[in-house]
Amino acid sequence: MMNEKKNIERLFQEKFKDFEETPPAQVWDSINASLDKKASNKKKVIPIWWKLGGVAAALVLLFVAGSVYLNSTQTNIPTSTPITDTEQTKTESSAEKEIIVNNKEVVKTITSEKEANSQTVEGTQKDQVASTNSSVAKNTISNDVYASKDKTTNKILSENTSAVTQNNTPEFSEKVDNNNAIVATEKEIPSEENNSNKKSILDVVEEMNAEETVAFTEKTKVNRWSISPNVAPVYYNSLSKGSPISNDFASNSKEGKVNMSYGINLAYNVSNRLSIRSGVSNVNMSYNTNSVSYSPAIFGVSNRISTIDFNKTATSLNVASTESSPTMSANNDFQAKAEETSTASMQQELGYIEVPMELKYRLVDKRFGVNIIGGFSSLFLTNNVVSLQSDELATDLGEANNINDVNFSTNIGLGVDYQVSNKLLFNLEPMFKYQLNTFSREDGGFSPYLLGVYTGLSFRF
Amino acid sequence: MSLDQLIELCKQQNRKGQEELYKLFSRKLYSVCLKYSRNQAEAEDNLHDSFMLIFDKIGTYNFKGSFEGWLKRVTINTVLQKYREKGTFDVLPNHLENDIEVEIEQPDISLDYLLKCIQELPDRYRLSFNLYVLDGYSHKEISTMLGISEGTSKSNLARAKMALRNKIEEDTLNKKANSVS
Repeated sequence: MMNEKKNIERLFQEKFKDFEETPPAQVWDSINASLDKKASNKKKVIPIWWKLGGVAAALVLLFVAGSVYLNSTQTNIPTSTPITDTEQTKTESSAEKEIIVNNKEVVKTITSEKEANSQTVEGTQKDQVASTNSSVAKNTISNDVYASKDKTTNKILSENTSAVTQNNTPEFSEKVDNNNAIVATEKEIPSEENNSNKKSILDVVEEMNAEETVAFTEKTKVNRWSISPNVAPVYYNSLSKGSPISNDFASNSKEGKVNMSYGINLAYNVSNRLSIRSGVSNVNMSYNTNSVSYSPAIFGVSNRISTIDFNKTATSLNVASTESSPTMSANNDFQAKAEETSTASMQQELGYIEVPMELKYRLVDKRFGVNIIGGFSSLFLTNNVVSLQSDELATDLGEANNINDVNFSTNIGLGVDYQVSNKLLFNLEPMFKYQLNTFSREDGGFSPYLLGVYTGLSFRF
Repeated sequence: MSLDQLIELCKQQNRKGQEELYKLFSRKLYSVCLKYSRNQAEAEDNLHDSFMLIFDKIGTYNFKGSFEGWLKRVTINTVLQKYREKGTFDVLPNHLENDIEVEIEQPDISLDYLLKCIQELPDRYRLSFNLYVLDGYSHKEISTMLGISEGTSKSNLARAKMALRNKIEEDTLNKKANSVS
């Protein structure tokens, strides 16, 4: 037994054939803790929403406060028509101006007519009063005169007083009849009544006009602001064949990926058809480059991808395209074995905060609306990762160093909406966003775009 | 619950399922980690990292091929990845190409002792020896996994075997000397 020689391979194989050992309990504890940590990291998305929600709430408060202030100045319209008219002409756009001006003129002519009337009434009444001897009649008529004077300044009051007038006049005529003294005034009463009737008709016309202007201004005010939270699946791809990483990968097969964008927009209606909007949204984009080979770099890394700042953990990985792998043949050990290195796909992820500035023109203004949208976005880089993904391995390589921190995109899109109620609209907006200066250098002939279908609700206020 | 059901649970990131999977396979995978690591502490770290990657990547397991085989590959890859990160595969200049037969006179040795011998081997020898002898990978596969040539892999293996024999024989001699004196 002692001197029996044994092949060392077989010795180990036999010994380790059924080798199993229970790991110490703390290993599971630490895995459990790591899983908890990972789960809580995923939940961190919520605070971003909270922040966005906070910003949105602040904006809403601001504009509600603003519109309440505007409201309070505009409810004064009936008491001082000329002043509110000028205010309206200031705020209204050119399209609405004409109507307002027309209204104003109508109101003015009515006012002047009415003034003239009240003067003539005053005159006739004074004459009439002078010709009568009854003190009762005098009092009633002068009351009427004051009432008609008031009418020019306060229509509500005038309505009441004209009612009073009508109540008074029969009383007055009764008294006159009872007295049987004044025959001359009897003739005048109907004419006076006519006058007051005439005035009340004019009043009604004026009232209607005033109401119309109020209603009109209110209607446009309701539509002025709207806030729209939205969410969109966005598809990131390139118009050209190039690679976002390096020209070495230009010929590799690549695929754009679908990510999510979410945010909130605030729109201001410049006119019935045209609105301008801005907002803030969080958008992620990712893009896969397939057929990427990687291998540990045993000779030190000879040919790095210059556009990637490699992580410490990835510093000894050689990464190259399998389609064009001159990097590998440089190492004599690899000469025949370039194809034996592992293949994976390289994923580039970019995250941005997007601030759009867009114009929206309403082509069809019905319950179902159709709009065209155009504008641009400023994009602020928040996330930048290049990673390798294969079935059994996922490694962060590092971050791309050819990405601008701030870049712009031109946006064009078509929007359809459905008016659920006066205050609420449902939106669906397919948008095409072409990125202008994503890369600071070496863009590898990559001209990225973003395709997204933005859905959301608009609340008008 | 069948294994497939358990895997489905884990794909949904169900914690109970993950714990169950750990209980089922941790012994086997811990033994892999022990063989491929320098010591127990490192093996525990590697086991932790392997399971984290397994739970992360279980969604990519498509029920083709043995699940245990998949788990083992992920574990071995996790360990190899660490050595890649440390850049420990620096090559020695002259190759020892011949596939030598190394025999040993002392077959009656404890498993723990043999494990300790493996762990004490230099990294590149240990990995080659484990992959080839204990886990049945071919030199071609090893060369891909470690990013070395097949020749280097063979050479590493030969050197590993000689180092193991020398160590074992030396220890046996010392033991004998101690017991005699």
